[in-house]
Amino acid sequence: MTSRLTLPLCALYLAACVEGETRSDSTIDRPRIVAVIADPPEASPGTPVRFQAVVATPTGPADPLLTWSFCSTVRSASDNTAAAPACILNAEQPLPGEGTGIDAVIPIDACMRFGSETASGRVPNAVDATGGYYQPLRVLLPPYDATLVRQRIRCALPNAPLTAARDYNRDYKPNQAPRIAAIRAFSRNGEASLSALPATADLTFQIEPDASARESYLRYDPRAGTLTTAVERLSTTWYVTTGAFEHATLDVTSGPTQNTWHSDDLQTAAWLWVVLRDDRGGLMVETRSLARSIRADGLQ
Amino acid sequence: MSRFARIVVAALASGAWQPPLARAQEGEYGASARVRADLTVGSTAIESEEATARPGALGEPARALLDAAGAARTSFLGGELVLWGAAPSESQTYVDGVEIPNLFHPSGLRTTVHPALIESVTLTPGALPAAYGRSLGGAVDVQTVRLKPGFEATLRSDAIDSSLAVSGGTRRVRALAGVRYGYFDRVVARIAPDSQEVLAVPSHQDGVARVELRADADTRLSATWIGARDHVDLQTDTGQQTRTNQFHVGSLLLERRYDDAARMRVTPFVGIARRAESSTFYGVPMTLETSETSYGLRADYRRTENAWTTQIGVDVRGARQRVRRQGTLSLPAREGDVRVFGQAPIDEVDRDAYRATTLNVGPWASLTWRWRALTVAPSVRLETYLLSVDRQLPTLPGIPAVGRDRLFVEPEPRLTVDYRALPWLTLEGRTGLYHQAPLATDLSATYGTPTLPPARAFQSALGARLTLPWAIGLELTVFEKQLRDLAVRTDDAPARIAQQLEPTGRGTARGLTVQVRREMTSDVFFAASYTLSRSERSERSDARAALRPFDYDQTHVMSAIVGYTRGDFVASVRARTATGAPRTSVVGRYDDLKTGRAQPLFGPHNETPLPTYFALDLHAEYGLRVEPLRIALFADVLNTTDRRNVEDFTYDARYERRRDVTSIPIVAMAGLSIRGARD
Repeated sequence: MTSRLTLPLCALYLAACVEGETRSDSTIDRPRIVAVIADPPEASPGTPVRFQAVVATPTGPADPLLTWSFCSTVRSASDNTAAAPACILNAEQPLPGEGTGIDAVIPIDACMRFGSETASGRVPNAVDATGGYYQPLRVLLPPYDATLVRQRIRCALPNAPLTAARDYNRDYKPNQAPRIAAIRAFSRNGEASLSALPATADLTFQIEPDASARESYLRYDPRAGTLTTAVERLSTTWYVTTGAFEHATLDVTSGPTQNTWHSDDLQTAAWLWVVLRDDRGGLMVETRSLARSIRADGLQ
Repeated sequence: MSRFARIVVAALASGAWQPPLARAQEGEYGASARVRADLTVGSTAIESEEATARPGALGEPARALLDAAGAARTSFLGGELVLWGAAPSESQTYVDGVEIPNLFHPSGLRTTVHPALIESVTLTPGALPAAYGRSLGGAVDVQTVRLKPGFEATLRSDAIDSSLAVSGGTRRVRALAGVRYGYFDRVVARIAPDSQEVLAVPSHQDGVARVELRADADTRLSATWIGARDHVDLQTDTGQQTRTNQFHVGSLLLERRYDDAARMRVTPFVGIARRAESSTFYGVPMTLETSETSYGLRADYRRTENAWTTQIGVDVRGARQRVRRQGTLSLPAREGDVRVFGQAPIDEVDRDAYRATTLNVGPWASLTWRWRALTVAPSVRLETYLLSVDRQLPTLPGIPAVGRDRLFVEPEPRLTVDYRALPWLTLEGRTGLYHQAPLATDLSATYGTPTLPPARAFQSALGARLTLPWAIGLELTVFEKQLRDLAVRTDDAPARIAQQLEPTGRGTARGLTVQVRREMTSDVFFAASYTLSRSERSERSDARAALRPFDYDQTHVMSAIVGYTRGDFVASVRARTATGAPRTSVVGRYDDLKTGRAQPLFGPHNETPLPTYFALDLHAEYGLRVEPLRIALFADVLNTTDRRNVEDFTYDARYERRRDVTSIPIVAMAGLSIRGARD
């Protein structure tokens, strides 16, 4: 399936249109790392973390050889992407292990490079909207594109008043990975089993995050020196081996949201990966096999 | 020798600039810059009546300037001026010498100055005379009408907006008022409801008012108000954006001519301006609000005695700006940012709120000496900047804000020379030094650098003006511009405190322009312009560092207009072509698992040009006289060949396939104006 690309294109007031259609990002047409689950999702420098990659291929889940490396180059103001190009192009701090799962220790200088504890005279790195700092990690699945993991790290609060630092250290709860309670599929005739989906081109899927998925957390405002309580935002990313989803990514902060899977191939079984993310960098993935029934109404 | 004189002599002796041939009539801003022969080389001046008859102008005198030599083509609805390789923010717009924030509404379809106030518009793409300062680029000067006794009213309406202007008065007291209300956004929403996802058409309103007193034949006093507002909302699958701009400028003009060929002019002004922009794309917020209160004064005195003309003047402008910014570090985008259209902003955020005050005092003096066919006019402007911020370090809890004041005194020697070699050939040239204060939005301690110095430019132009048979004028100009101390994003990571920008940028622009023109006074008129140029910039001050193409660099820009008039009928056609501006290609990608989105890896900076632009536009107008009314029916066809011009490149979600962002298809518009007059 193709989806129309709208983008913030005409923010520049072009009387413009985007020509043609573009392929959806949800189609798995080559091996791809769709998620790397970190345990724990938030860690301090010098502490161990288990990274588990989930690899999707057009034929289903796979367990290929991967190469892992921590980044050491900090993104500059002139780098207009999520990480410094050097971090993506080079194996800056290679990690031992070549499987889909590795154990690593967060670099002891992570907060000095990517967090608040920068050298004297240097500005602390900027935080994201949740107040977090991240240690970048490159995962390579040769010969395909690199994958960037941003592991949330816990650093000292920059220039925090004593009371704010004390309260934060006492009350802040490190991030936990969100959980998926259920994935449901619907046709025009109602809910369908994922292992016996009706043979229709369009099916609606719905993900239900677990009730505990949306955590509240303390957020430090480095400009005001105050702590506020915020609640995580949740989003899902959908991947499938045949056809495509209407939306590759959906915000599910306000509850379950439906996404339409379109596939003209009504015979082949498919694989589905749904990644649930919180905006503090935690994620969880569910992998499901999708099988078609013979009749459009779902009956054998 | 006085200190002032010593500074002038030191600057002249420094050898920092070279004196090629040049000529310009100093201080020709405002109502006096009416005589075409007085125009500096490379400039373009268009009378309002002629400009509105041009295809693509859509009834707007200043839109005709977009065809002028030395002006690069910007996106169809862009409405920005890129003059001799200067970024839009490096050029200024004046109305009778009074600076206004922007010439065009963001749609680019309409100017912020109501046409009823405009008599002519002049574009000088660079190497401005000493009366002008505060910019590294060029200037557009809008010359306003001189009101007449009697009564006149004009109503104009088309698919973009409707306007009403009323003027009249007695021999001594005259007044004008005009308002305009735009509804193009609603027209587009009505005729193409699906386009709302990809079209962001701003709404606009503007108005003018003027009262003019004539004490006697030699003394004129006028008070003028100009106000404009525009607003745009954009909603897409990936986010939303809201933008509002508005400004009001009030000015007084006192002009007096004396018996002994002297003239004095004084123009005080005040203004307020507000810009507010907020967006959330891909969940990343951005807000930038600036509120400005400005004030200033222009005054000059000119006296001619035999072969000598002496001019002295002062140009003062102060602005107090309150800036509030929060959200992503990567928006708004800057010239030189390596990015692609539609790219998700960086998800690192911050915030800042501060006040910045800029006071520019620019006394200037010019001496013009004429000897036979030679005119030499050295001049100097003493550009003085007082730059203040109330916060020189980022906001930190418990730390009081400490401001900083800085004073820069920059002598700007300039020279113009004019040699009338033959009755039909005049050689002209000019050169000079220029400075521009950093933008208030660059003085943030969090997003910018509060200690940025003024950027500087050295500009030269040399030209020849030929008067050919059949009232054809031909003008050739070569120009060069050297830019230094431009504010660019730092490569330091992490950046030094309060130094996200650094004044290490430099640039060059060189080119040749050709203008051919036959006046509209004959049945057939035509005008053509061609610009060959190369404009480059670098983020490194090191002269050995490689230059990359300027974001707006266009090697060839050509425009040709042919028109025919017979009685009350006017028809004209315009062809316009331009080399595509450079873009940076995406050569790789990676997946960012924190957001679930792909990120681009870029190739060489600005090495891929957009495809060549071409458009053919038509205009026709027919006038009816139904006394005492004059009714004009007009129609415009834009992009008559329905060519899909590429305005930018964008990419699919995985940055694997490049897509074209195309400009408008063929568009036809019609309207009418009704004018009534009584003596």
